Amino acid sequence: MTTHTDSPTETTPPAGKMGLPVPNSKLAMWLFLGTEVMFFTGLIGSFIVLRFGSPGWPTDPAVTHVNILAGGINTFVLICSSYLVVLAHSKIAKAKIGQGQLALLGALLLGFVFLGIKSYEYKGKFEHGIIPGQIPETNQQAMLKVVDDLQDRSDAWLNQLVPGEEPIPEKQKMLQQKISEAEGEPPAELVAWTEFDRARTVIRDKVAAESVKLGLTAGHHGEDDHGSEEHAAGDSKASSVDAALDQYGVQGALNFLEGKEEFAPAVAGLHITAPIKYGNLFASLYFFLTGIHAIHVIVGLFLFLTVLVWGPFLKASSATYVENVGLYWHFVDLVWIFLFPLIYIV
Amino acid sequence: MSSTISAESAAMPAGEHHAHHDNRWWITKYVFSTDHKVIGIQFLLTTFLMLIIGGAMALAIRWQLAFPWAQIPWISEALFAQHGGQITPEFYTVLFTMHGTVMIFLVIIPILAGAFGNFLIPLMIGADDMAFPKLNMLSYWFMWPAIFCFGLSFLYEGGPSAGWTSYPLLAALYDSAPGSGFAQTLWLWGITFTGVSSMMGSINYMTTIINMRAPGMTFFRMPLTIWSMFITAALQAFALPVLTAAGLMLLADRELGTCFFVPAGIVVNNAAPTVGGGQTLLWQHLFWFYSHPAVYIMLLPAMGMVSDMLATMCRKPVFGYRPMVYSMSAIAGLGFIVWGHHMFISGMNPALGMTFMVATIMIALPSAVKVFNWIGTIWGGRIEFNTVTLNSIAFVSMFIVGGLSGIFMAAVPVDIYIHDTYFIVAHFHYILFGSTLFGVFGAIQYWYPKMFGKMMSERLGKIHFVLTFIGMNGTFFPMHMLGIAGMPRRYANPYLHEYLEHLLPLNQFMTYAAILMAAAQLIFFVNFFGSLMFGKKAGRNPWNANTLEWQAPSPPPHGNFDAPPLVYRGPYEYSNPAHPQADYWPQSEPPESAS
Amino acid sequence: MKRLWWLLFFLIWPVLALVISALSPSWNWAFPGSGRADSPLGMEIDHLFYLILIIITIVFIGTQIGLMYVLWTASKRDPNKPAWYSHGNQRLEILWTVIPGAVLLFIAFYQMRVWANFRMESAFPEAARTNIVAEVNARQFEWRIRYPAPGKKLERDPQIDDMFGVNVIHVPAGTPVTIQLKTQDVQHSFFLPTLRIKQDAVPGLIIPVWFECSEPGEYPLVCAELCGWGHYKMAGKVVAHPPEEYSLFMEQLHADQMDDGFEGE
Ligand code: HEA
Ligand code: HEA
Ligand code: CUA
Ligand SMILES: [Cu+2]
Repeated sequence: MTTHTDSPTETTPPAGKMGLPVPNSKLAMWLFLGTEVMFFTGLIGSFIVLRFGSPGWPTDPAVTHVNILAGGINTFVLICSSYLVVLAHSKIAKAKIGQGQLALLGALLLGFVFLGIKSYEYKGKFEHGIIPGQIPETNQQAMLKVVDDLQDRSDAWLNQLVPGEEPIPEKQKMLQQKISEAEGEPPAELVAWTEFDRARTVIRDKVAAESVKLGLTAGHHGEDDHGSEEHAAGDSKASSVDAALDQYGVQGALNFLEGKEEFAPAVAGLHITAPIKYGNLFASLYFFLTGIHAIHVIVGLFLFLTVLVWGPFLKASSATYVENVGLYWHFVDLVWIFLFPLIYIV
Repeated sequence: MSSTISAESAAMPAGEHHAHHDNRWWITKYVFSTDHKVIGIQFLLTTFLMLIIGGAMALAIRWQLAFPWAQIPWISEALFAQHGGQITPEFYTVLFTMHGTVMIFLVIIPILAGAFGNFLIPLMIGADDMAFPKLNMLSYWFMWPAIFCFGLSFLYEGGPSAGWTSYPLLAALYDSAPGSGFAQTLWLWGITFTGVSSMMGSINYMTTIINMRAPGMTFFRMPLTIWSMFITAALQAFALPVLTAAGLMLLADRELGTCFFVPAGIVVNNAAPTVGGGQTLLWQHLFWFYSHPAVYIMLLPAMGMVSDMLATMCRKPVFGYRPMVYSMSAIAGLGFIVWGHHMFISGMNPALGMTFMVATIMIALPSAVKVFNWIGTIWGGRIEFNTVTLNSIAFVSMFIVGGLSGIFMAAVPVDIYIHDTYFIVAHFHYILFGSTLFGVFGAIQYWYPKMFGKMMSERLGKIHFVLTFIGMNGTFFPMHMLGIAGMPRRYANPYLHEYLEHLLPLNQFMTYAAILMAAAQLIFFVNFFGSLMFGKKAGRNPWNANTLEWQAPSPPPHGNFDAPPLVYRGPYEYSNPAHPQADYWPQSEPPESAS
Repeated sequence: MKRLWWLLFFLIWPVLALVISALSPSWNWAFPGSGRADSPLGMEIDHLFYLILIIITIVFIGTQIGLMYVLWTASKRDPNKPAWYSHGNQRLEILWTVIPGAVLLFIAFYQMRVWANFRMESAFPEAARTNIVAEVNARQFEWRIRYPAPGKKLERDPQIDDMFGVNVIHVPAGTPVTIQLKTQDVQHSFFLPTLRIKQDAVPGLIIPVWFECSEPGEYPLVCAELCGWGHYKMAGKVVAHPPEEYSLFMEQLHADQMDDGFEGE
């Protein structure tokens, strides 16, 4: 076809159909996948540049909460679903519509399983405070975060005690007034808040002066304490916040507050987000890459549905469409096979 | 030119076009049409509107550079009353950002790929429409969300102000500039939408060209216009996704707290130090990985169209058809490995600078081949100076100037000095305005009869050409000198610096030239819309050209051809001694023996 | 006759362009200041610039002559005679690929040394490696300068006896000096037009930049990378002192800066 037909003297009679022996839609799907390849090349290239351009990287699963097992299962799930899509296509092409749709339904369900496991993983990370832009990278940042959290708790409590629209400092004054007005026996709640807020200021000031340690317990590694020594932080026997703080660090102080009955509700669920060096970049890449991939999965599932809604009315002539959907799905699968080792293992 | 209306079209009674009656509702016919010709014309008209908007911004830029902080007569009072009628420095950054954005993303790329690509591809390969007409329609309508986002971001408090290149951190951090607020986010959405639109278009074009050619239309019988559209589509399809990825990453940095482009510990405007560990240079790599190929997206289709126009106007085959095809492919291929020349002094690894320099300088080689082949095409031809010819010659001539100035910048040591000066601005306006737009003006004049069945006025066309040519050179040639004099670009008031003070008169001269150029465009629009009414009726083949589109009625009906054409020969059989009856030999005319 | 007008039209503008370009130095529309670079590296850059300019001018004249010639012959062809039927010429194609190719390769390789000299630390002049005079920290919209105390080396982090300045950089003339360029916020670019030096300041990086002022004097410093609305006014200057005065000047600066204004004793 590409011989010298542009030579003017040679006027070959027009042949039949020009072009490639594939349907337009399939050709277009291949081209589209080409653009997708470039899209993910951009993303994965960025991953490599950022990952290896960074002076360090959190690789310890105990720190990053990357779940290799879940990722591995997901890989398997996707491969199985890919197989089912192939099966669906070949059945539909042979006009075995029912069997084909069953296979596709299986693929759809496996897709949902994938997303389910994915959201389980995301949830696990969110619970450990692994959210891009919010991860403390040093002990100091972790402590500052606790200080911020305590402030929020204290304000929330105050708002509860003194309802109204007034600004916080105003409310503090109102509360002091209430205490002094209630002669002899001020309401215990109000006193508790005052003490709580005092504890909060102590912690804040000591953190600001950088004169305390984080004191994180085993399992949660700070940047320098390797989680061996300070099991003792678990007890609340210290006599005051100050003492707890000096002895066991911020974690100790938190435990102390938790141990006091009157403060317990205020600090319930409050915990230190373990600092992760280079954690923000890690989390950015993790969530962005897997998130974009998940969006592709969702699109794929939607495409499955466009086939399934036809139910028994599906024609064998839709085989090309199913094949194109399958091509897309294989691509989504393939991307995961690249992402999995890159993000979970390297 | 001896442009007797071709025998064929004379023999075709006017009524016969309506052989297959077309009674679609006017909305589906003209607004949400899936007909590639209508979509092409929609693109064309939209880009005209955008050209006026982008041009108006350019004039505001020029005004500020000629008369810093002075009020613009009439307009100032209406627009910037709250700033004492002045263009503020903040607004100046918004102006050039939006000028660049509008011109590149909403004028040049859509006018080439969108307007001409759509209109010409099916006609020139002998197809009845695109492979995916609905997708085609979508690709046009995805322009509007983009226009909407850009427009909103322009009007939004602060406006986008990081240049059309949107380098972080200026573009990544909310605190870094008044305009890096929500406006910048909107701008990024705009880019994403244009990306989606182009992606749909380019896949459609490639599929159509590969699979829908008329019988006999082998690859090497395709007109160079089609080759250029094909290569452009490939560039779009495979470079653009990288920009989309980068754009999404930047959006995430702005809105979701990620830190791909944000290093740790940056203090902007006394805000809290950033957390993170990203690399700002990564954006530049990703951006230019797309945007360098993009500059060829903004040129190649014009190159293809000019090749066709020159061949027709010289009554001569294109000189070196295959070398033309190969050099276009080489430009496209090399275009993927030269992006670093925008980053020579960005602080990237200096060894990379050397490799990028060699690649960049070598990309001049295929361009050289093309220039010489155009000259070769005219050589020994029989030319007539009509508007199409004039614009095509200007295209070649201006491309030489713009391309040669590229050599200075490609040489890294010289680029140390001229990077981000007006020398760069001169370079790309010479190519973008000087060459691409002249090519486009020529192409509009050339294909107008096919689009609307009327001829455009030659007289107005020539006046427009002369004035534009003078205005354009008057505006942009002195920019070379400004650059060498060390005037950095994106300066709201360069005369603040002693060593630039004496350049004010030159800048004023340029502004007058720019006003002349803008006025000249009014003539063009008068010609374009006036000819719809008053233009001479055109036959099927007013230029006696060979390619298939001229065998269809003017304007072609829905479905294009009377009968599916068959292709017997290459597109440039002009003055072929084997065919003495006429100096042209349409691609679809059966050989004598067969008829 | 009309065609002659058009030929003239296409002839006039390249001639005009050449004439104006040739005259522009005399109107000061050329390199800033005296027109000669004020640094040895700048001289080399100018040399490369002029070399390319010469090559490009030849190419420009050549292509314009070619274009004029073919336009001339093609426009005067007898309208009744057919055009030259030719699909091209292989030999010509090879010729006009190889010759420009050789010229371009020459241009490319001829540039390498100066580039290495400017940016590759291994090819820095010896003195540039030892004379690290200051840290320049760009921010919106000024240049902050930090010098080490006289006799000390510049440390990465600020020292107690460092000296500070804004927008004015003091350096010794006649010897290569290096500054450490960084930025506190967005990207900027350190541009010394008369010395032909330019280097972006990139968030997160510290980039060594060396330059040499041939003569004592003041040289403008501007910002060449868009950094916000005030980009255009981010001016500064480099003040080059004669070498012998330089150390005295720095001593004085140090004394002034450490002076607490308390006139006891
Ligand atoms: C359509 C648009 C277009 C085209 C085709 C080109 C073509 C080229 N460009 Fe240009 N360029 C831009 C648009 C374009 N550019 C834009 C918009 C920017 C600025 C972006 C921004 O920062 O905002 C830019 C910036 C830009 C830079 C960055 C400068 C800087 O910021 O410091 C460089 C550096 O190398 C460069 C080089 C080149 C080269 C070598 C070519 C070559 O392809 C040119 C080749 C052509 C010829 C050389 C002429 C014909 C050849 C001959 C007649 C043969 C003989 C020649 C010799 C032997 C020398 N361009
Ligand atoms: C295709 C691309 C294209 C085109 C056609 C143009 C066209 C023009 N450009 Fe533009 N320009 C860019 C792309 C383009 N530009 C880019 C990418 C940048 C870089 C931006 C950045 O730094 O981020 C830039 C930057 C740029 C600058 C530098 C700003 C700076 O760095 O500070 C200047 C300065 O003179 C300028 C001027 C002009 C002028 C006078 C025109 C003229 O040719 C325009 C003439 C056309 C018209 C005027 C339209 C038609 C007019 C009418 C129909 C009249 C009606 C109008 C009114 C009533 C006002 N442009
Ligand atoms: Cu700093 Cu521009
Ligand atoms: Cu480029």
